[in-house]
Amino acid sequence: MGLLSPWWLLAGALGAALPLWLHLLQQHKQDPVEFASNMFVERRTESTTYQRKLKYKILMALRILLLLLIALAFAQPFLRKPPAILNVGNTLNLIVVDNSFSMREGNRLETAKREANSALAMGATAQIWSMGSHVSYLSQVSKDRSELTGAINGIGPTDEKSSFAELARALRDSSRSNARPLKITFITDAQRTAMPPSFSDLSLETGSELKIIDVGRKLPNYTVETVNASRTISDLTKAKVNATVTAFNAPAARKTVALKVNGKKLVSKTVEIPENGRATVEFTGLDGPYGWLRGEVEIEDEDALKEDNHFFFAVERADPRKVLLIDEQRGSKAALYFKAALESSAQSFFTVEEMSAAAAASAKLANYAFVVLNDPGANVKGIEGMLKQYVEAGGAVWIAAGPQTGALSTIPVAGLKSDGSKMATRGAQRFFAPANVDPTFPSLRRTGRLEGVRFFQYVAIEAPQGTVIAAKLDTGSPLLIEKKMGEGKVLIFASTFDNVSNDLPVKPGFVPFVEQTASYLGRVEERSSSYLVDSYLDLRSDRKRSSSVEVIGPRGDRALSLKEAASANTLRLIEAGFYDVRRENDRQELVAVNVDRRESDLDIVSRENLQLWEQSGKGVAAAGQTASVVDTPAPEPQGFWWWVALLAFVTLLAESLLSARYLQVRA
Amino acid sequence: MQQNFLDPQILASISGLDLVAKTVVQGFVNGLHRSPDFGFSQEFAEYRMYSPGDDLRHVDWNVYARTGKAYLKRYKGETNTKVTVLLDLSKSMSYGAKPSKIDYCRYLVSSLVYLAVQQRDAAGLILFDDEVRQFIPPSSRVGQLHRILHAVENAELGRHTDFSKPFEKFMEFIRQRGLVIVVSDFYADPETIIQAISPLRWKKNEVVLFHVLDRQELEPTLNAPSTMIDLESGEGIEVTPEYMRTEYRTRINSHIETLRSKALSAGMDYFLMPTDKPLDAGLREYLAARKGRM
Repeated sequence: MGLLSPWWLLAGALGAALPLWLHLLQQHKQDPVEFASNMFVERRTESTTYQRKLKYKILMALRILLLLLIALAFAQPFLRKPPAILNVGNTLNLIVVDNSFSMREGNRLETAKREANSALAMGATAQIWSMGSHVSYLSQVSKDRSELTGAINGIGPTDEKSSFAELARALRDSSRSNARPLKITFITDAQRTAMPPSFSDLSLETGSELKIIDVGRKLPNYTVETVNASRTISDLTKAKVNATVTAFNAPAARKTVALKVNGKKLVSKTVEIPENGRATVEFTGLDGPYGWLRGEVEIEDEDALKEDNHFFFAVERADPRKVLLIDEQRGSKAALYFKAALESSAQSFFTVEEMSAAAAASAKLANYAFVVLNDPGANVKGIEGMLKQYVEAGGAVWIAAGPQTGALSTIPVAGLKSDGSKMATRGAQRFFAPANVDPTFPSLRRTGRLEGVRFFQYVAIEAPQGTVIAAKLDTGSPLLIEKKMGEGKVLIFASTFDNVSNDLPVKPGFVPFVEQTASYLGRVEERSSSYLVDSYLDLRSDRKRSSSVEVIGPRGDRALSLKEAASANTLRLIEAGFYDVRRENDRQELVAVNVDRRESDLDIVSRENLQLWEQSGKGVAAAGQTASVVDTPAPEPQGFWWWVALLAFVTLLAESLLSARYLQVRA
Repeated sequence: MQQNFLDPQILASISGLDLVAKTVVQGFVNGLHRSPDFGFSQEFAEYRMYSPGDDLRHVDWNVYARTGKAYLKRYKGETNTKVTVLLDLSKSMSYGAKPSKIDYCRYLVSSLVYLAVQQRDAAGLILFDDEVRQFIPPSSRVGQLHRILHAVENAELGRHTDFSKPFEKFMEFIRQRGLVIVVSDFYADPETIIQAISPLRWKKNEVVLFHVLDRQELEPTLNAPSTMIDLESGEGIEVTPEYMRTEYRTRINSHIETLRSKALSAGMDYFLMPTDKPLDAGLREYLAARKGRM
């Protein structure tokens, strides 16, 4: 016990002497009666006097106690409660079973579960955890052996990557929250890749006892590490699939690698894999129906961990997507430059369909990857509502603002204020140059910051908060602005695509600019062809907008609950396989998910390192290097002044009642 | 109604000891109802042969004319005595309320002296505590009453009572036999008191002890345990109501009885005078003692 303000107690002790002095004084002076002579008087203190004295002594004691308690409350007493982790009694046994992907090798998991059952002490309080990339609590803290055994036996393999740092963090949290020492039995294959970069991440709270049961062994293993394929392909014959095959702790070997689409083997190749090295296999040409294709590259030969011998990827086979170019000046150079740039690329996935605003009014915009408005004027007012609806439903509009747009007070669809068309004079200011170009913006990634491009005319646009300005002119006026609307977006180029307002169409950056922007607006390169387990998939681009998303997992079950389907923004991908994502506006997407290939490396942690980890919870002296990076939890002072104040209040009541009674008796 | 004037509480409201004494005595005398044993008169008592030294004024010249012999004519009223009142002025006499013991004693002494003067007795006064504070020799001269009353009224309380020392001096002052009235609360050992006073008796004096006590001294009542402060010594003793109600009373009654018995054995009259007792009882005792003295 300690005191935060000990001087208060000293003052209280001095104050407590006051009632003592008063009572003693009162005792000597009470009821003096003058009498003629004490010749016949003898000293008598009968029982009644004793009782009275006793009463006064109780009263005095209460008053002293009251003062002391008040002083003690002001002194702010506290108890130095030892950290929960240092309490010896009531130990919690934690049985942690590693069920990461690598535990699929052989009968590792079964062995681990057997070891876990053996580690269960009779009558002990225990809890069962499983460990992958996250820790899962499989049972309550319980003494019920059947419950604990059931939890152990229910552990199944996962596709997660093991992380010892994550386990150590969970153990530290548990030590602090459980207020009891932990006795941890961790059954794992001790995979080397599960170790964190810094050993300090493995530190445990002082008092935690860790025992690691290693059921793993170092084995050679081959795996398909990566597959590169275009996500959207219109011509399957031109499709290329590159796969990397890796040997982990394995000698050089010849392996047969097969390409499968929708479960059908298309072709297989033999590849020479060097010892502990990598080899690349390239497949040309795919075959399959229109729509999403479930691709898979597989090593056909058996090895230690056959589950990592195949790699999933998703490819969408589709006809080239149409881009609607709305241009009133049909046959203008702008349309020519734009179409030429978009369709010239080998990887192009778009065809341009040009029509007037009036004709576009009867077109079904949802069929177009995105819409381009070239120098829209007042004539697009009739289709502006339709375009807005299209954008908010997930579509994209690219506006090239020319002189006609500059004549409008606001930019069509986007609604941004326009300050009119600006022309470079023939005097000192002959042209405007791009400045503040964001090279990370998707449209500008390969445009070389638009260097050397001269702008002779632009539309001055006010970009309000919430819009993204990807590039500016040297005048400070925005050149490329993106505004999100609903699920879609509007991209405004403050000039035109012809070579009148600027010389961009005749510069090398024009084709990449158009191509990249088309891919960006058409959502072609937005997503990868495969994800890793434990990564997160974005379900909504507009998080404020509620739209239903449906996700079908690799096993054909729904991965989202009804509530999640209406509100979840992301989905954690926990299994390898294909996820079928169906968004609003009938947009479907297939997501291929693969296990983190670090799990394929079956190399194990040295026993010395495991022992060092086991020692980290046994105190500062034993922890050695851990002590330097982890603070030993200091005893936490736990104040209890409010209990003292409560007791003082009760004492005050007792003193009041008692003194009132004595006064009544004396009266 | 007359008796009411002898009530000490009523007397306390009368200012002036002479008036108090007069009131007491007149009330007392009127209540005697012509008792054959008491009263004063100029009634002839006897003739006695003239002897040299006798006052010639008392010679019955008629008898001398008829017989040629000188005889002194004596009346009953002239069979006077010397009355000496000894008043204790110790501090303990201040105890009591309405009246205190000393006030009661003042009334008593004043009344006795007044009565004695009315009886043509020579009255004297000795005030004492542990010393003799004032001595007025017995005299029947005019003004003696006022001298005594003045002395009584202005008497100041002293300290302790010590009977042995003052009474040794009394022996020097009291040379003729007479009536000695001792008024005190007698807080001393009865044996010591009697031993101190008894020499007076050897000189053929009639000795009357008036033992003046407050009712609270006889029957004290306490509501709670208290510390009793001795007025003379200032010493405090803690006592309980139970003790004062039982044992104390036994002890003071025993003291009174012892004093009474020893006084009677020594030929003295003892008279207990609680301060709530009317004064006529004291005067009656005086007259009885005077009659015995005649």
